[in-house]
Amino acid sequence: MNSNEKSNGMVTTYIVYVTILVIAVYQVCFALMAGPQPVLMLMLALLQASVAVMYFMHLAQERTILFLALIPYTVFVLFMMNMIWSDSFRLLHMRPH
Amino acid sequence: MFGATFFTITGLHMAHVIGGVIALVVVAFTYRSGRYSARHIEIWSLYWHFVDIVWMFVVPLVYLMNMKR
Repeated sequence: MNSNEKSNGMVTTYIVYVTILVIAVYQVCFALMAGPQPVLMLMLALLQASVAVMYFMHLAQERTILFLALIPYTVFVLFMMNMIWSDSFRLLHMRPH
Repeated sequence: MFGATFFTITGLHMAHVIGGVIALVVVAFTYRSGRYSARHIEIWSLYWHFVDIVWMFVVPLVYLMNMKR
């Protein structure tokens, strides 16, 4: 990797970092002003995570077949996460019952 | 169940963060010895970004979704 490529890589890293930071600030401001919005919050978190996986974890530079191979596992994990929703919704009210 | 869910989520995340911080400190102080290859550093950076991504979901789920207007 020459210095020009390294510089471009750092520029991309800074842009991604600022993007994630802006989304986080927007999440906090939106939560303060508009109250709980579970779907929007999780969609924004998904957007943040997608950007981080693509650029910080270099998935965007991997082969397409690897990217496609990860989709079934991601769907499986997201499906299994539904096991906890019935209880985790109590967190919305920050109280046990 | 509320306390169990809350402290399991945040406690497990804290355990991962502590593990990552220890690993990063070790790498930061010993990488000049040549013991670690670029692949080792890459693996630890992947782990650290994984912890970071988990936090992106923990914050809205635990802290932001119950803010009062």
